[in-house]
Amino acid sequence: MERKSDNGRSASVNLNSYTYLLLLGAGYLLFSFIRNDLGEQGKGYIRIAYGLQSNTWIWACAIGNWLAAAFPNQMVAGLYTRYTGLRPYVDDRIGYAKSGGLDVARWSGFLTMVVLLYLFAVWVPPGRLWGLRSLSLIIATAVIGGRIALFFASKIFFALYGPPRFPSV
Amino acid sequence: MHTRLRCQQIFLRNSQCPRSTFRNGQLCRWHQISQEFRADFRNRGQFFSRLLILGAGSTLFMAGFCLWRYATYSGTLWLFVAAWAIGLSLMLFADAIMALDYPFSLLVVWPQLLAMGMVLDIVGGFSTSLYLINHPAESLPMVRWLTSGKIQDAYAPALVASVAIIFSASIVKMLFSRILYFNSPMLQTMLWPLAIMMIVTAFRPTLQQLGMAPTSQQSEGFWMVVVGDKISQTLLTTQIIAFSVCELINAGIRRRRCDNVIFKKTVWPSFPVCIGSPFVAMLASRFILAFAGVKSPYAFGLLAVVLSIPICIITTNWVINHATQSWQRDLSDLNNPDEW
Repeated sequence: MERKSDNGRSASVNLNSYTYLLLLGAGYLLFSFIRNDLGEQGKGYIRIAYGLQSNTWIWACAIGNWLAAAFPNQMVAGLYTRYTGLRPYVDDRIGYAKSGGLDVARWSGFLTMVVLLYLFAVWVPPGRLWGLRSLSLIIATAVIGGRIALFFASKIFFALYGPPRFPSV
Repeated sequence: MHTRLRCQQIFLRNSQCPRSTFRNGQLCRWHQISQEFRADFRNRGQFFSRLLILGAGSTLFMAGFCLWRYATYSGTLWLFVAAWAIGLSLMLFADAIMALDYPFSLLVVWPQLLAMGMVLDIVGGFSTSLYLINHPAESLPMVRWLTSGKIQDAYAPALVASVAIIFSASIVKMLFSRILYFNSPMLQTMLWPLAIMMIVTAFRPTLQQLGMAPTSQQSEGFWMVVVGDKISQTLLTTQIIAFSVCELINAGIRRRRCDNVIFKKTVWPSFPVCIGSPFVAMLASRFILAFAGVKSPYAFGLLAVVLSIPICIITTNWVINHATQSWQRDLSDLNNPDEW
């Protein structure tokens, strides 16, 4: 059984992925939590996690963190090319989505972001890492999320396509 | 030497599932399950799968909420409901992925996740219902969170327990028939009466509070009129003797009237006949003796056994007729395939 490439349209990856709607729902919950936490009744966990006082900067960091959580997608897309010889966002959008690439990448990034936010709020004492606290959090999300995504994606792609046979682009 | 075939499920790039085939089929157990569930969803489209995913997300959110309530306010019930919700979430998620019929859907992890969700659902559901039967008041914070009012307070624990029982019983049936492939008529016969008994038990305290069901003192008074003081001994002895008599009569009639096939088909349907006939006869005896003004455990026992005989004969004949007609229908369907 050989799989043909399917280019699809620009939003095909999201539309054909398994859990994209669920991810958006989870993102909505996370941002609702951040909004409440920054409000008058909130306990200020997010303020501690990012090490910032200004709400504007915290929101900017939170959005940056969300984008960093999407970074593993690029790494998994590169891995997909090594297994299939096709570039996910150029040659084979639907195939990439149906192979679970987007789901693994985005959930790895998102869950890493949530866990790191918790760790920075509760375990890393306030004042550590000087002014680089928020930047470290964002970079750590991208790097650790990417490593986790690559680990799971390689297992799944191996199960679907066998060993990698193509050079990365 | 008997060797088993390899599962015929082919993945992309012509790789093949390494497991052995299940029974006489062409697929392993997990791919067999996956194929059957996918066939159920085949005509419902991708939108249905998206709905299942949203359902999985919602129930997972509900589980998180229950765990948070448990961590914040304690209350064992929240823990059981959380287990129930996690099980449901796993089931819906696995269903959604299998429904999509993507290459990823072919992995055996989905039917395995489905089975795990079912087990968790059954454990969580029955634990919830048993806990509610024993501690009905503990469901009130949960109910008041949704709605409030005296009527809800009175009925809600039993209603929540009943929903959990019905849901868990259907999952038990699904687990046995569609995951374990164990289609026993005994299970069908035992499962639903057991579930109904649990629901009745759940509603009993509520109905007693509202004066719609007899209390234990009132129940004793019901039998005391004809049996005297030794109620439980008399009822139990009568039930055992009448059951044995009914069993003998039932088996005798079936041996005389049925061939081998019908005899086997009527084994488990005969069980409620032999249990139910003495019960009906005991009730009838109570009213007859009370009407006649007789108060004797021996007279009650004797009358109940005698009355159970005609009831057993009538119901056994009905069971045999029903089984014979259904067998003849099956045979005629097989002989006339054009009518299918």
